[in-house]
Amino acid sequence: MSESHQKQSFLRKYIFSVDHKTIGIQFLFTTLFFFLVGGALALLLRWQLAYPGKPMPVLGQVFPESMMVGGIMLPEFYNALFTMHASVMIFFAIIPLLVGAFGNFVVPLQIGAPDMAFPRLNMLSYWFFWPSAIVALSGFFVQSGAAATGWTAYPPLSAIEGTGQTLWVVAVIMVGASSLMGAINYLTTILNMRAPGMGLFRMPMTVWAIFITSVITLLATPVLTSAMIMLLFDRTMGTHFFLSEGGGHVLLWQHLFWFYSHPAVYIMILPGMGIVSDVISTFSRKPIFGYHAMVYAIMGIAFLGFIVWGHHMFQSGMNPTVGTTFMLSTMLIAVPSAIKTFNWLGTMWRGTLRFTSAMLNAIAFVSMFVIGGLSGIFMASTAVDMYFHDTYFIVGHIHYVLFGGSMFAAFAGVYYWFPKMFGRKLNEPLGKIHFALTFIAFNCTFFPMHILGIGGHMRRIYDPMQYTHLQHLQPINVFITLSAFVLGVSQLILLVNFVKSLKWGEKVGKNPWESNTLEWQAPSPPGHGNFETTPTVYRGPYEYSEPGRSSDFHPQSEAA
Amino acid sequence: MNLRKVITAGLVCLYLFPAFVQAGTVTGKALFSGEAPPNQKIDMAADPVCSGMHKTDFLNERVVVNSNQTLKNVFVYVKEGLGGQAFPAPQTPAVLDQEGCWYYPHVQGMQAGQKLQILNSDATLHNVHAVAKNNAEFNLGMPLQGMKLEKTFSNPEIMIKMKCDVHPWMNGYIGVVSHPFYAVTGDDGSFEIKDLPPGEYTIEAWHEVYGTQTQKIAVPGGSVNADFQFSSSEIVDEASGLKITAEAPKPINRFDDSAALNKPRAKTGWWLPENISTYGGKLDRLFYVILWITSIVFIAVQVALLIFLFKYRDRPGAKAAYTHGNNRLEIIWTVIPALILVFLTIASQKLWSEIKGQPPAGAIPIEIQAEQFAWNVRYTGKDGKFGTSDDIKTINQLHIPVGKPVRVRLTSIAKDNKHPVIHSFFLPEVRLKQDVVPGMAIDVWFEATRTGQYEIACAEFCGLGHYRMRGFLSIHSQEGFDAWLREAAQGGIG
Repeated sequence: MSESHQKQSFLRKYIFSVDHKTIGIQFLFTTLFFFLVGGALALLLRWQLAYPGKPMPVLGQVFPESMMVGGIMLPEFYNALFTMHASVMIFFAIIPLLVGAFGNFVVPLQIGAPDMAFPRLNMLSYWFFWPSAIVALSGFFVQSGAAATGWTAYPPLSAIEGTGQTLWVVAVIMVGASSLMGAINYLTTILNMRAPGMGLFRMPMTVWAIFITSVITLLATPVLTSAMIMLLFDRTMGTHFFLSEGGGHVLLWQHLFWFYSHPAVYIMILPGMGIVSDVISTFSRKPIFGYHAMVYAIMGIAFLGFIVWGHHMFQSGMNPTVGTTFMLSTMLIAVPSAIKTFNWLGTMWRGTLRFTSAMLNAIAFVSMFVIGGLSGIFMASTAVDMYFHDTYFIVGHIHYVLFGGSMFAAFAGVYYWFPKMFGRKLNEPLGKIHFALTFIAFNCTFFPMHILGIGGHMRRIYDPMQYTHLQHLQPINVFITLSAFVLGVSQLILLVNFVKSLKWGEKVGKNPWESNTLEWQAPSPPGHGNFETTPTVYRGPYEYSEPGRSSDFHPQSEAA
Repeated sequence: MNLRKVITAGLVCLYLFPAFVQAGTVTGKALFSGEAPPNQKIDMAADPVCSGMHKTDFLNERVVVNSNQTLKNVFVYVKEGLGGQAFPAPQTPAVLDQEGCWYYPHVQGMQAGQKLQILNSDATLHNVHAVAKNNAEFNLGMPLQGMKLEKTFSNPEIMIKMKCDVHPWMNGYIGVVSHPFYAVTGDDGSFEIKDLPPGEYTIEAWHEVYGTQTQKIAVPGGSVNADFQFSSSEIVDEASGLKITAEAPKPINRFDDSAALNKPRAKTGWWLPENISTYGGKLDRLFYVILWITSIVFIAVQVALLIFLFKYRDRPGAKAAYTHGNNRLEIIWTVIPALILVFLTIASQKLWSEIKGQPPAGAIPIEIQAEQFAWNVRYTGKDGKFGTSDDIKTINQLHIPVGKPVRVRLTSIAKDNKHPVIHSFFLPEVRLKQDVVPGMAIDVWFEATRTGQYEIACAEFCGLGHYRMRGFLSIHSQEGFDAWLREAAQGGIG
């Protein structure tokens, strides 16, 4: 820890930092920025869906002729928008926000370590991450436009479309490398650097979640990277991995892609589950219900997550008998999700719930994740999926998991750990307004998408009015778009709160939430090296409301 | 007023004046000998907006032979002889209009540096694609009626082909030259190039089918005649992908199946569209089973959550219970969901194997080749075999009889040396969806339970025109279908 005594230059401390906390905060700022970018892309395309062919007011005049003409969106731009919205949100916002930002900041603190195992690798991971986003987004400035084949980039289409697609492929390879560096680092850190007494089953759920997530990342990402490199070769070197003309197989891509991308859904939800478990236990003032069951459920999800990828391919031309196998595994993965939900309810049962902004977002996670989980069962059924596949029902489902799930968890994490990061609280009244507006607008935006899907509304279409059978659904599209704008504007409240509280937020001590886990025993914000003395762990992370104690919490590192 | 400008302008006029007084005019005709190709009817059924705009057959403008045995749409221009003279580009733009799913004018000339204004007069998406070698290629979607684009070709090029990536039959040509000495032959096959300074020139005439011809002429000042002779025996072959019907349709006694086809559709509001297939009802039932189960779980969980939020809110003096869980509960809420989910798997499997299994015996074989962005439908014709001369082909029109299973073999194809891509064949009311995969031939089957007209949608994103890759399913009475097949076999079907 000799480094902590040296005075560091600004550049070393804030830009090229190797401190896990600074890197975590760098990830946080960058990913929240991309969250706003991805949201803006979504709002643009929602305009077109609600008012196809109508000129976009004001903003429409800003775009060049290759994107909008007289404020009217062109189909090629629409296609780039839905592709880049998903890519930005998944690769550059949600995954690095949950894993890069919270994982980095929280994991070493919660296990009582001074830093990550490989600080320089950690820094490199960040310096691979943000340039990858720039590479992908730079597609908007090349002649062919940004990638426009969906975030799933199915070849042959993705093998023949313009330059923007190449940039997208390169970006995904880069961000994959960044993820891998992170995963190796978390695994090593968690396995080797836990404080004395921190047995595996005394680890907070966030650490468990990041640990299992890292295992998934480590096993799945190389497959995605290989697929991307093959696609890059098909595009640039004339190979035919995914082109039937040269003996390749079109479906090979889908197998490789979903072998990563289905587990990636769990990469995006497991850390959220971890965060929410910590938050709910803390603000229910109760031990987490069924700690071991919660850990095994995460493991079960991770394991089953690797054998369900085929449910994205029921209608792809894959052998229908194989579809049956994937149907069974997909149905079964709902079981550990159910276990987790019931245990969160069990945790709140007979607790004393404190409705902080963090807690409200965590409760919203539980409530919304239930919808996202249940709506998935429709598509798990091979037969019912035949109708719902590639409709807005799926779009609604994925947004209930990724926004209703991952993003509410991320908000919970932001409100919960902001005091630890910056020594100040986020403003609570603003936090509650942000929560209420987001929760209502979110449901108004995404729930009607299920109705669209039931009506047979296909996804990824530039102009639904082309189809007679969709025209009567158009009022729903208008309603969704209006709600989406409210949802988008509501996020500005978080932005204002965030920036304002950095400077003027209420100052806090070590443990403002009266929480048990180790990060709350370090100063707020913790200095370089985290803890003044290495903590010793005496008990599990959720010993709240122990009978016979005067205070209702019992920090892990308190001797008695 | 600036005096110097006035003087300069005057001097320029004086300098140019002699050139104009002595300027010559080249006139001539594009003569044609031989047989013109038969009626070149264009089939626009792929886009109903297009076909709906033409009450009568629309004829291709590739070869238009005028009544005086001359050719229309020949581009004539001065190829050599002007030396390095520079001519300022005119301020008025050249105009290319997309109207009735065709380019107007079909052939035109313009000057390098002059603006080209591209209009879309149709209420459908066009995608104007300039296939240029010396100029920047562009490829722009114009989804809306009344849309305008302005483009400029900065270099001379003979000829730039304009095509629409949405409507494969649409094309036009633009000759871009560095000077104003060009013309296009019209309805009398004649052309006139005016104001040409005296000198020796090479003049070229270009036609998209019959190629180019050149002449050297001397222009003395005054008028000079230069005719070009094209012949049907010399053809420039260009793989065009155009659909040309060789013969005019014969009169046919049509069977009136409109009562069956126009049977009113059930109104279903914001919910599942009506089901019209034998297995769709079973699929809907399974959907409702899942909807019931998930709704009960949904309500139970949310109500429990709300009760907890109210009942266990933090109040002064309240103390939380201290418990780490309950293993019996864990087992209960593991086993019960697992049993329900396994039940759903078994229920789905039964229907899945019915739908994906062998089509019922006697199913009518149909082939559908999906391309960007249309459905090419094929029937065997009388001989019961595909790939023979009596195959019946339609674009975007799937006709079937009611009450009889059909087996559709789905493949993906591509034209113009493109790659085939993935599509998805979606019949919402039939509850059928199947991806169409390059390199694979995938069979699906269904049996319609009522007559009427419905839509075919592409459900897998397949590129620029994906959103309008729309087809039509016409379910006839058995007699109506038989009559339709007869008409189609005689070439009477668009």
